[in-house]
Amino acid sequence: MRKVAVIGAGMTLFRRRMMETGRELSFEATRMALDSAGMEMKEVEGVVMGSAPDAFDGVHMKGEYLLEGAGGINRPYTRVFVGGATGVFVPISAWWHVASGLFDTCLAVAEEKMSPFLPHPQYAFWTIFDHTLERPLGVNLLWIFSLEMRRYMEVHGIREEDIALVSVKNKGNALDHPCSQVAARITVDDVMKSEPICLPVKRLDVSPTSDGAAAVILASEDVAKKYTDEPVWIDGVGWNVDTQYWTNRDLYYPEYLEKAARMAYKMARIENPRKQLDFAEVYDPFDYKELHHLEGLLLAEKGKAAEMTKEGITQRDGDFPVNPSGGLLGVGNPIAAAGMMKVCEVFWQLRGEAGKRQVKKEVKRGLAQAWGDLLQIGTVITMRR
Amino acid sequence: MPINERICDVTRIRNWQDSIPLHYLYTTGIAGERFFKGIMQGKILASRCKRCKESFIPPRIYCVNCYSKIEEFVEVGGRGRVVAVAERRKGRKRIRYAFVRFEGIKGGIIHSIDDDVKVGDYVKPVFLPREKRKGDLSDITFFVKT
Repeated sequence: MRKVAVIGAGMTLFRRRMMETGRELSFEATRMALDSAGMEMKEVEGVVMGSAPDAFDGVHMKGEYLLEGAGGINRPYTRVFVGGATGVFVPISAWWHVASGLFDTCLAVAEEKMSPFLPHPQYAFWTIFDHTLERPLGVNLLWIFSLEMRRYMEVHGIREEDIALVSVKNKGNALDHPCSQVAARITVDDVMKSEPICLPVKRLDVSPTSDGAAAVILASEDVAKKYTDEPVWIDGVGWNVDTQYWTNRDLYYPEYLEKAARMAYKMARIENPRKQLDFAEVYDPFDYKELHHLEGLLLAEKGKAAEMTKEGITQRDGDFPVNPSGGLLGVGNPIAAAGMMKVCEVFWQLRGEAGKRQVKKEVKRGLAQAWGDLLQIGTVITMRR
Repeated sequence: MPINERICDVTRIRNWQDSIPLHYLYTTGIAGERFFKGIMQGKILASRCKRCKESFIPPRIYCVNCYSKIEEFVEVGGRGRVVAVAERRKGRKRIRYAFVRFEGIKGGIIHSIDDDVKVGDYVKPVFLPREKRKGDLSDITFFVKT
């Protein structure tokens, strides 16, 4: 397989409701990525688009609907979809377009416009549940994530206050992100006293619903070197999907994610991820998910991620920064675009272009991860300078 | 028990009924906002790419050819021409739609037409009286022959 580089990245503001249409959001992010790479659309050979459930827009042909804004006209164009994990799966798919030798350049765009759905985008998730076993109960995602959070706490004896530290960190980090929607200086006490949503999940444990888009441009080694002296290489990709019967799993640990991570680490020749990676952008739609995912990614021992957080290791100036961007909890969560935002952040961090968000220590390798469907899939990318 | 074709008696199989309410509130977008403000003023606007010198309907904020950002919106000056017509009947009433394109513009719009409009005819939009316009496509009543 050929070496594949990221040579440009772009994203829009993340907001509760944007004036721009999904196509326009896709355009803004893509145009920024092209400009940052010094590229024109005519030099892009293939396009991969990602967007989460069609129910948000009510356009049941969303890939085709968004195509024009994402620059996909008259090109080999594909939409990929793996729920919340889509954002990292889009660049994985773009990666194999180039690694295979089929394309020299490939654009990866992720967009989400959640705001059209009334009264609240959460109701759109009714369309993803099992119609006979789950939907009649009136479940939504907060409900099953609450079960997972509780199980995780129970097995490891972790307190809500320990988990709240993640929200405090990420919302604080997001203060330095120009696109952020819900950045804030908050305390553990604020999280504990925030509105109960579906306990143990409280308002400040969870990311918001958002509109936004993000994009990266991938190129083969020869082509990348024509555009930049500082390509960022994608050296490992992994993904793994478990059954939709999420009741098959002990919710305390995401095995599918460990499998995805191991696939990426093997490709990147990473034997000790905690030592060989310098930082990570871990999927954090809820604060407990950052901890859960750090363990699944083998970046923390089982049950030890909360301790790692408490000790300050995961702070931006810590020994192993996690979500220096501010994550979904701080920057926002336009589903597919949120995962892609993490890939953009790893790119900017590795190029030293993250501005005020730049992590203190020198970084050579980073990881981006997303998670989705019904507690079901992990997608992982490792990148290096 | 399989049922090969039509279910006449639904109690023959165990079944669940469900419905999912779908309600949406859409924004018109940056280009759409310009377009519908134009409609309110009785104008059809296209977006124009400075680089390709081409204009598009419906207007976009990006060029369909070269993917540059577009910030220029121009009134469609040329005549509209009917490319195709479809017709249905509702009781005794004829409802007719046409695909209308404009001279020098890429793209087109679909709208109702007057009874006597045929393929190849040159047409123009008839707008509702100014005070009745809402800023959507129904502000154009139909297209008539010029």
